[in-house]
Amino acid sequence: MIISPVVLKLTWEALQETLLMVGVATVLAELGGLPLGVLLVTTAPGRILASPRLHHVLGLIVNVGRSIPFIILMVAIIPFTRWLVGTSIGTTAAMVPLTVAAIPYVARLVESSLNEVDPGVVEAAVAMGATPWQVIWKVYLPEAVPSLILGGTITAITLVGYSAMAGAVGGGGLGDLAIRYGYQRFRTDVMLVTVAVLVVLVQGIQYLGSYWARRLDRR
Amino acid sequence: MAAPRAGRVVVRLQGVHKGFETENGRIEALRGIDLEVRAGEIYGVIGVSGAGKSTLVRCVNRLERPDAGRVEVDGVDLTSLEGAELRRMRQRIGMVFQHFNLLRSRTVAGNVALPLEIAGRPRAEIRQRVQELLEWVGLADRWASYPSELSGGQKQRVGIARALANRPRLLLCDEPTSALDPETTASVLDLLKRVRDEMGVTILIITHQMSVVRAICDRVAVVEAGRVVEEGPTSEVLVRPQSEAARRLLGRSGPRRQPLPDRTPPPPGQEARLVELHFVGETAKEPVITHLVRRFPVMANILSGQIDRLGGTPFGVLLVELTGKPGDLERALTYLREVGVIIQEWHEEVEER
Ligand SMILES: Nc1ncnc2c1ncn2[C@@H]1O[C@H](COP(=O)(O)OP(=O)(O)OP(=O)(O)O)[C@@H](O)[C@H]1O
Ligand SMILES: [Mg+2]
Repeated sequence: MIISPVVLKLTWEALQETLLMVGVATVLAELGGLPLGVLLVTTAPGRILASPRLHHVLGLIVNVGRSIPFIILMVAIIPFTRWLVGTSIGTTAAMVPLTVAAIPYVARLVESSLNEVDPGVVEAAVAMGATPWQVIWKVYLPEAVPSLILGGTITAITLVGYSAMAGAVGGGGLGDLAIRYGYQRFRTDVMLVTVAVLVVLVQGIQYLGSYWARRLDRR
Repeated sequence: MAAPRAGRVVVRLQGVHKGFETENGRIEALRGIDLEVRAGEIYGVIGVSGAGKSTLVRCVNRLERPDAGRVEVDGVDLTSLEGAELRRMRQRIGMVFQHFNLLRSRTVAGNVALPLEIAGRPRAEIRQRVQELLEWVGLADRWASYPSELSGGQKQRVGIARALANRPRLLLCDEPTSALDPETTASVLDLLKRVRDEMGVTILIITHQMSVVRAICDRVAVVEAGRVVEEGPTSEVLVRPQSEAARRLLGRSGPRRQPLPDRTPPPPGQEARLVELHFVGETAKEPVITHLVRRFPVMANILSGQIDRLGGTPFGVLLVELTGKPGDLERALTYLREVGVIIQEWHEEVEER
């Protein structure tokens, strides 16, 4: 099978859109999810900012966020998306639901990463007279770095999948290309190329994430 | 054998209670602890697992908040401290942990720097202090290593250096050698002793091993089920344990476990007495037994013996069978008491312990 230059050009453009959507959404979701995850851990009973009620409320919000199917969330927040970026169609608009959907996801991943930090080390810092802020910045986060990177990798890969869905409703990217040409116009070649590119993309993200995490792991 | 430096009270616990709510109901970990640690001494707290030792030491820097009672450090009642005041107090108390609790993401130097960073020291001062401390614990060449690259003993040296970074006057050690082999234990205990001798730091050390108490403690408290059941200078507690708990702990590490050799029965008219003789300090250096048999018509059969050091003081235990006429035996024992030997009579059933 010969792949025409036109298909390659379309695929290349779609890949760039996907990378942009996933990249921006991953970064924004980490920015939003990291503090949430930190709070989930530190407000738990017996922890440095123990606050059972706040812990409970945060957990509830995160669970609600995670239980809404992405496709419904995407439609439901269209007014918010339009208010924020002026439109509900296109790559930029797709970043909004992607980020919103990923924030609670990141929060849970961060929570589980920080819960792996040796409680004895946290206790040592408390015994040194560290403030909660110092414990977070000097102990929890640095100690969890390899695990946080692996969590971020999972988020990015999940967002690659979500972005295909966002693409289907006009977000652009590889998913959009696969549906519009590959499926609706029976262009098997486009379908195959986009799937192949997605496979390589996911592999690449996983490889980079694992490599980076391993480099920083001092275990 | 209270250390000569021992002076003002550094740590005072009064009626400290602490309980924990668990799924199986409430556990009373501390049931009214009274304790005083004086400046410059190495004070041991010994007890079996679950006795409440860790809870006790964690009350001293308020990692646990007592339910009742007072915890004073340098005359300040910690139970009422909060926030910044409590943190400032904690910066002045070092703590060493059984499992080291080093940050695996930081190098040796980074770990020792942590308490200084937390205290907000300037960078240049931190570098100099870290260097100084690592030299002091003999790890200057390992400053760039990560904890995962160190042996247990080296990790604990880093833990001790870290605990000393802010120049505390008090060091809390929770089973600092329980994760180490005997040889490494000895070197870590030596280091702790240097901390006291060279830096004048008061040490409160938790352990379940009598050998640790024997090696470095000036005074010791025996804790059982959340209470101090016995307290005193190490030599006294070791020699004349008053509590069942102390005797059990001694039995585990002491020299008395060996079975007694077979002994010939005494000749007619004479009698044999089994005695354990404890020599502390100067008496341990003198040929007391030789004098004894020259001055009294008795025979001394040494069944077992052990010479040890308690802190810096020589400390010997001999299990001796004395044979002679009853009157001569009494006079011999009186002589021993007069020269400062502490005597414990052995009865056959004592062997069981
Ligand atoms: N955070 C906690 N929650 C519930 N129970 C606790 C807690 N900490 C200690 N305990 C209980 O309190 C009792 C005393 O515990 P502690 O750790 O002080 O004993 P320990 O003498 O240090 O024992 P070990 O030698 O095993 O360390 C134990 O029964 C323990 O289970
Ligand atoms: Mg303990």
